[in-house]
Amino acid sequence: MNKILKLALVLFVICAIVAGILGAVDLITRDRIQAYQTNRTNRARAAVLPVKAAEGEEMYVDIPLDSLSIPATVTANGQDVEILSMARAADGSGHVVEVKFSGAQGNVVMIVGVSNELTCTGISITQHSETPGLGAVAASDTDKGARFRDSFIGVDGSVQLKDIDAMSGATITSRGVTAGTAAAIQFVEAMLNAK
Amino acid sequence: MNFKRQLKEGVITNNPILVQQLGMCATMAITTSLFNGVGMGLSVLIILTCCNVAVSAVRKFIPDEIRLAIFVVIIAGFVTIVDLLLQAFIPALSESLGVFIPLIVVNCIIIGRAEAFCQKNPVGASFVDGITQGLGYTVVLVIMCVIRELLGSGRFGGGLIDLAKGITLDGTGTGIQLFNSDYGASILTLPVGGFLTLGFLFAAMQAALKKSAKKKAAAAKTEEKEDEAA
Repeated sequence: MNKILKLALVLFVICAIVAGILGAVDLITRDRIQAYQTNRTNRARAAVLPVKAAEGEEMYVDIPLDSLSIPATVTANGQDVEILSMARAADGSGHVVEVKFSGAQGNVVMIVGVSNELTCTGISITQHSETPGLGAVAASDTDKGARFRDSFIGVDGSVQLKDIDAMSGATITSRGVTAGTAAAIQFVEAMLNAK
Repeated sequence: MNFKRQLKEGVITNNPILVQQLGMCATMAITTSLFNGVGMGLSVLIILTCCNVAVSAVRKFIPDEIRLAIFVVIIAGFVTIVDLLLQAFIPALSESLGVFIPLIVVNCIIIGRAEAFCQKNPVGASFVDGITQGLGYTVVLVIMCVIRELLGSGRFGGGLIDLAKGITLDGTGTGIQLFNSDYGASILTLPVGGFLTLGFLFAAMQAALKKSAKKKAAAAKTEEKEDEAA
């Protein structure tokens, strides 16, 4: 009994020390990581749906999801897609939707631009943990990545895997991105219909 | 403590990838550009050195029964620290390596060295072991990156080197295009290319080690004969 208590105590002390150090590191890095992610979200929005706005003016107006009376989870192509945030372009040219779905390795967060005609104006992946060289190509700055993303421009809410330029070796990621795009467009459509 | 001997062991005779054959999953997956290779190599080097020192420092206090659990806690702690620091200060590298940074927790090189070396050796030797084994890992990653990138897409130093900007740490460097990427063997940039490259490196390493062992044996034999003759 004493032995077990001693083992538990040693393990507890070491875990506590490690947790303390991690807390300190988190304190130092949290703001920087947060700032980087906000900055990236704004850049990603601008990349999928460019808005003409004067310097210093808000380019996108956030629409709180709980102000909408429609569910924040959309099932597209048999895959559940969670809607994370939603914003209207300040010049009325469309909407940007942030969606989350599961890719091949974990959750993928993506921003989809949706025009007033309910077609996709572009996609941009902001967070993912896909396999480097395979699924991660979808988010990369390479020609292959750009070709994949550009193949979504102009598609509507019924887009299927066969309609786009899917990546070889990364079927699950391609399928997820397709579902995410379809879900974003369907969500905007549902929101406009509900109004 | 013998730095020279440990260096030779870490980089050549007991290289973590080519001889111990540890941590190969990440090795094959991320060696697609020099930026990834150098970043991953240095991350492992730093984590390995920190873990070696920590494990060695507490080796006398930890009961044998729970040593593996404690190693894992220590390793996971350092990996998370490096992960957070990369996300905050070199986000491009963090994005490019993706899941493979958190996966260093279960990288066998680190737990292997903790178990095989640090729990029996003092802090100084463990520190040197972390650096030399980490260097051995980094050297192999860099060699693989250069081979796969050059033959696969005709490029050298992708992400890290830019002709206009010099060395870039934000991963935007376009690298030096030595020939048109259409003429590259693009199979090498795919996972199967990782297996092929690593296989050839294993073979080359084994051949070199065998040759040097033969040479040593031959030298010992002639010495023996000379002794007998004398």
